Amino acid sequence: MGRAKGVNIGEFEELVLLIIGILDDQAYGVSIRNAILQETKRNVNISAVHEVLKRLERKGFVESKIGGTTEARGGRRKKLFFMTTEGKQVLEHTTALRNSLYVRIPGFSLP
Amino acid sequence: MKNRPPHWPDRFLEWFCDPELFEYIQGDIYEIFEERLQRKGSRYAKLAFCWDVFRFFRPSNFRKPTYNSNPNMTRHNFKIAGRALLKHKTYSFINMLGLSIGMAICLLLFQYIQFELSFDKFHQEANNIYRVKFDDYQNDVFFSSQVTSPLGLGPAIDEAIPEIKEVVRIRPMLNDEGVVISNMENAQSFLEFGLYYVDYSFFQLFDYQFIEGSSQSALKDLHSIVLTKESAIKYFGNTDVLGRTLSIKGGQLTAEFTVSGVLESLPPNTHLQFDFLLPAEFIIKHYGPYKRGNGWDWFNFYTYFSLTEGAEPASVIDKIDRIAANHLKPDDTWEIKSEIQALTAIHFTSDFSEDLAENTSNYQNIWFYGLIGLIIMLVAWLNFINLSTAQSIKREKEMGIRKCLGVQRKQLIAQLLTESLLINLLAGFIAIALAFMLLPIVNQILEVELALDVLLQPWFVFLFLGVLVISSMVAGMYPAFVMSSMKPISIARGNPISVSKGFDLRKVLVTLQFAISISLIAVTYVVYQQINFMKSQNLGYDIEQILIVPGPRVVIEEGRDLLPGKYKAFKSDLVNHHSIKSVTGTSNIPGKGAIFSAVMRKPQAEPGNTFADVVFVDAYFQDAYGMDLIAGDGFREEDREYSGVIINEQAVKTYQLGSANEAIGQQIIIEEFDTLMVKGVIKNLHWNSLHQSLRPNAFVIAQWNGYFSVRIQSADLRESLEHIESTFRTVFPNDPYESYFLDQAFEKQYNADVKFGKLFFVFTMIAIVMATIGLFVMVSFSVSFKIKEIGIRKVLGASVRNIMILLSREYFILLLVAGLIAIPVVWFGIRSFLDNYPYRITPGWDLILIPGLIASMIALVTVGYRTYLSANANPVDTLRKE
Repeated sequence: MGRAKGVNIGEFEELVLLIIGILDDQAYGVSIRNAILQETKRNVNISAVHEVLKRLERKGFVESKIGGTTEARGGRRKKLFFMTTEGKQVLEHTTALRNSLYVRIPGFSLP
Repeated sequence: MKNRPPHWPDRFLEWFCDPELFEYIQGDIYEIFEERLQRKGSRYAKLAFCWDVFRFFRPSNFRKPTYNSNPNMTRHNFKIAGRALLKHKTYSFINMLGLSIGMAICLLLFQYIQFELSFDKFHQEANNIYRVKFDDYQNDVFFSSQVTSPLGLGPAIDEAIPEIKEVVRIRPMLNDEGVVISNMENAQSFLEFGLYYVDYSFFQLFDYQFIEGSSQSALKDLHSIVLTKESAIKYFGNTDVLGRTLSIKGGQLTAEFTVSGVLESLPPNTHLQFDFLLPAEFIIKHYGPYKRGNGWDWFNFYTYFSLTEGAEPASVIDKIDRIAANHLKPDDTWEIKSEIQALTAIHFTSDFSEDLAENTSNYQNIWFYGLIGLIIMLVAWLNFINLSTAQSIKREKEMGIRKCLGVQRKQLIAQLLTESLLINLLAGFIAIALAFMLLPIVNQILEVELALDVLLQPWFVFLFLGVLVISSMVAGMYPAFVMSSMKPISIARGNPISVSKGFDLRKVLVTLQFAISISLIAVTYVVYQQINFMKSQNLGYDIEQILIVPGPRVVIEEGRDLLPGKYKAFKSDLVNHHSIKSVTGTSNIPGKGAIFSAVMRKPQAEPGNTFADVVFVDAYFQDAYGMDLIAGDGFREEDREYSGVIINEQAVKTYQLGSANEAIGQQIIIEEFDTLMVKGVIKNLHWNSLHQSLRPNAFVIAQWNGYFSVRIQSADLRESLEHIESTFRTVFPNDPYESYFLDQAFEKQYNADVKFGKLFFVFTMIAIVMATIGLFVMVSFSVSFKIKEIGIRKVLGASVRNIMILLSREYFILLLVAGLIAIPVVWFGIRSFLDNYPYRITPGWDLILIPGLIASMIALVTVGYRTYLSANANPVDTLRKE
């Protein structure tokens, strides 16, 4: 199946997209960053997360909504992110592709 | 509150951040700040907050421009800018010419400064290498500095001072020592001066690239030699010469040496310029006097050393001083203090006659060039601002209509800045081309080999483009704001801008430019006059038609007994030829100093402190040089070596020998040399260039000397030259033959002045071009407001001449003011310049008149051309517009 150029997904983008999926309706900048730190021990800067979110939104894999606020944010609202159908599709596609390639490595077998 | 995010990064974020994103970004980093505050404390959290803000500082988060910034508008702006440039070709040309000349000069000066500052920095440890220097004090008064040190110093400090890592002693060829080096295989021999004796550690301290051999194996053996690429090719034709032999004759040594290494060509930016390296041990072993006083008697070595990491140079100086004080014991009145020079500073701070290279650069000059570049660039931009403003006024209608059609002010500014950017970028490209064209001239004037290699360095390209963009914005700002601030209604009425205010500034600028031009013309004029004056002075002897032939060196080694005979044979063979009037042997030739300087005194007198220049000559000296004796008979053929002396009037006066006639027959002592009888007194003479004031001269008779001076009297110069050469080759078959005319060699002493003159000539030309552009712009500017006035005057019967006078009168008043400003500047400039010369011209009125006339001519042509264009216009065309 042919994909339009520029709608591919990078490694970090994929990671952020997965995290957004896991966080369900609680995905915004800080929570995503904390989840990445927890799951992968990668300490990424918040600006990098924002950058990827902008890109994912432009590619149509996520959509955003204005969320509520907390004490720690000094009254500033959150921008919450949700995975779109396209986002789900691209995750399925990359996972399937990776698996199909992985099993063809000689000497490896699926666990 | 203490535990709040720091204020200014927050404000900065708000300033640059797109308002749409701002809330979420700020919220997120506040949240993270709180979290860090809990875990790691306020200090860390605040620092991390700054870092976060900085990380958000990227174009994707920037505020979007508020006006419509679609690419079509940018394209439109460039298109309009291009059209405007093409429509007003003269203006565009002049505008870009001024800018690109300024930029090209700046580029070249930048490259030159970069080159100068890079001296000796290519060694890996450059910042850690120093050289020993001694300052001599007499009765606590500074007397002189010497950068040479005795043989024993190097090993002594190496052993006693733990901070010193490596020590290298360098012993160059001494004044005119010269050796003959030959390749025995093909009988090629040359007279060489670029030879250093160095310690084995030379290649440990300094970094040189080897083509053949290595830093470990080179100079290990007592009879080894290292060549540079050039010298290897000179003798062998290629560089693959490891293990081949060269024989060296002359001076202290005659031996064969095996090539143990070939170096890549030396870079031009080093003060260590040599062609051959030999082991220092060789000369130490073969030249006895160096070992006298345990190696502390002869100051012929340059001692370089490197320090260990973190060593304190000041404490090292103290330690060197203590060691040196133990060994160097001058008498009670003298004291020697040790100093050190940083390797990278030698090029700028070590202008001593005995140094390894002529280190005539200094930091002041470098800053001076930088300042000149800056001023030129500023003037170029000021002209650019004026010209752009004048030019855009012509487009008042375009601006008015744009405004009427609803174009915002910001968009107009963007359009005008685009034009400014386009002109600056084009000028930048022209400047690069211009710099390449001017490079050979600059290299010739400054006597360097620059390549424009900064242009290959990415940081410089970015800097250049950055300066271009920023400067075009800054310089374009004024015309852009003036034009965009006009009200359409006033444009339609026909009086768009009030011109009275900015006008005065423009006049001041042009006046200053002309004052600078006049001053520079005057200085250049004086420099050339002074050079001519010095060249045309009577030296006290005749240097024309004298051919200098450096004497034999190889023959000295073949047998000292043979020498006097051969010497005589050579001279008599020459003189027997009809075209040769006279031949003399002298230890030094005019312009090349004396063999030594010493205090002279009468036997009964106390030694004073005035030094006389001593030169050894033979009995034909006064004959060949055409010197007239005012007393005494001079030398005779049969006079013994060191038996007599001829002195000049200055020496008679300085050493109180009475009148010239009374001096004859007196005994006179030359300190540390001998006691001699005065055989003749000659008129005062200039043995060196006229940079030196009058000195006592002493010419001592000696049997054979380093240079032959051959006075030629013949119509057929070629025949004489051939005869001299063939005679030399017959008498001294193993020596290379060389010859040159004395007057040409003598003139080389004025090279530095000529270089200075050329430099000022170039600066003058630039200043004139800039001033002319400035004037042209100003005339255009004011004439453009008087078009109708001119038209009406013509209709009422004024002639072209009347109008031209009317239009140009005020500029000649400006010129007069410029001249008046220039007079004191020129006066002081010239005075301080001429103060360097003991023999100088007396500045007269022509110094201000001639530059004034030149400036007036230039102004006349510029103003005349521009006003003629306007005065000649048909009044119908100019008046019909109403």
